[in-house]
Amino acid sequence: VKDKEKIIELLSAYLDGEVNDEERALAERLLAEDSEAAEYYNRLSRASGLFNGLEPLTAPPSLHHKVMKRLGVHKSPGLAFRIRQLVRPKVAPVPLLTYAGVVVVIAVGMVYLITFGLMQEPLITPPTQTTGKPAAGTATETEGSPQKSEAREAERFALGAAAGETDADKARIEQPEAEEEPAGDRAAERETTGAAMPASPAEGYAAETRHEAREEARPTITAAARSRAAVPDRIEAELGPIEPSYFTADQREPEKLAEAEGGDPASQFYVSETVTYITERGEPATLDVSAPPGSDANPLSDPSTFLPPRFLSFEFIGSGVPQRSDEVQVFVESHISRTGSIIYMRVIGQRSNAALIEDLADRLFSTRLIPARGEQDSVSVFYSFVAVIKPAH
Amino acid sequence: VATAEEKQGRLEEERELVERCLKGDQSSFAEMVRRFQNMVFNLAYNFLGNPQEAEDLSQEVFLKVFRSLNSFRSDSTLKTWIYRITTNMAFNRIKWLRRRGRNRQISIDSNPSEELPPMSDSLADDAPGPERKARSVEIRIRLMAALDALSDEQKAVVILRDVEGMSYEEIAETLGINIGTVKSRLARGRANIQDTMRDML
Repeated sequence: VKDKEKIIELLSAYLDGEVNDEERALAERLLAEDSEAAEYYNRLSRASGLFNGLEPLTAPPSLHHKVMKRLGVHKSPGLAFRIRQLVRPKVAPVPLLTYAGVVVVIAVGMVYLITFGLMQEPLITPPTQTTGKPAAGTATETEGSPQKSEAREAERFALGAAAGETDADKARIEQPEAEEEPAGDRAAERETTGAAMPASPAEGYAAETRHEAREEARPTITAAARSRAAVPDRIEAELGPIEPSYFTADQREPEKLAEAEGGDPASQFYVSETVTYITERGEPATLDVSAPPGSDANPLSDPSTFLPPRFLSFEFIGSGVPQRSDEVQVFVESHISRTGSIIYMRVIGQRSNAALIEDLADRLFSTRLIPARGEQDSVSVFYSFVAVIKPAH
Repeated sequence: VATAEEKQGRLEEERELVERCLKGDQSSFAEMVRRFQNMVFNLAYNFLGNPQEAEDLSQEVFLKVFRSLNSFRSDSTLKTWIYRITTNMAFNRIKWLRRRGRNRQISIDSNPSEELPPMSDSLADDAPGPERKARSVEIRIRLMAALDALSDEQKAVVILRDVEGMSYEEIAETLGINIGTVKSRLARGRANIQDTMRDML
């Protein structure tokens, strides 16, 4: 075993060119003489090629801005920054011009009062009670009355206007600086998106009437367009809150799915899909996938472990989309956690093949998933393949 | 391959950049973020498998980098140092997500950039372009699922080597382990990935 581990380590390092001359010679001799080692090395090389072929991702354009914005809060302040902080008021930022304007208006007012105030009649006329209501144009409002607020507002506006205050300035004074969208808002955004989706499961499932009767008979839920709003309460009650992202494919393009579902008669695609789940207590147990007991390996990594061989047989084509009338595309998405599992499947193929697809869907969805065990609390895997379906011999 | 002179020049340039940042020059730090943001985001995404989590983590990484700049020693490169911070923070994040029962989420929603169209885009489109994109998305998802099955230690080494293309020496420096450990973890990690992805190889 140790030798095998050493060989694996040697070949891995040889692949990366991280070997000395002696190790290189040993690796090359091994590859020339041992077909098993050569085969292993080829697979190693192909796997490495898959990684190398991944397109590097680009950071979201907003990342730079967000970092710099947050640094304004978190950075250790320099001397200039400290001085600015001391000068700057703790309240919402007010433009310097506004300060200057207010000072000028107050100064003018004081000069006016000092010069004329003591000698003139009061500027505000005492109330003239004629009909029990204050006379128009007077300032006799009680504290907190709407009229007083309006008067204050008008006065403030006049002061602002006198100081050359713009609408934008006013808005800045009245409201704290707009905070950048926090991460949590994305959930709210998703909720908003979800609000545009059908409000009830019944509405969401309207396009699937042909499946509903059958699905009612077992604890499996079929849906074309799922949103958080459309997730049945039963699942939420069993599993706790379900991340909307579990259903994002449908949230993202419900129209496209609806069209593929048969809404558009011209559509050449036929879709059959389902979601099924199992709780940790095993209720209800509807899927059976042959993961080894106690294993936390993804049971869906090898389709042959969960595709039932009865009645239909499958010839795996690989990935991509169906090209011929007898090909179908199978999507399997699993979310496994300690509290339960959700399996989401969809079969897509040519409309002319509808009967076979329905049958395939039935067979696929009658399997059962063993709840995940092990360290990983939650694993979500998306998997798809294209296959040719045939009657079994 | 960079020559020793080029390496020295790059180190010198990095040192100057760090010094300017330490003096409170915001434009220098903006430059640092611009220079390393794709690298940090990629690494974060490969660890977490979720673009939103990756973006959040990337922000935290740069804040940490900024706060810890005075502890940066120029005996390692800035890139390696930032890689180390990202890796450590990604590990912490993964543990935190596990505690909350929200481990890695690999789904058809994983669409961190234009290179990754939503899988649903390719459902009814058999043009070669979308098919290739769908294939690329599928490969990424399968690879990430395979990575997910590894232990954290193996995962880190495989990501740094096979995805980020770091040398064994850089990986050892980043993770604070010796080169022998890098070799053995990488070999075992790759062997496990092969097992998981046998049908694609």
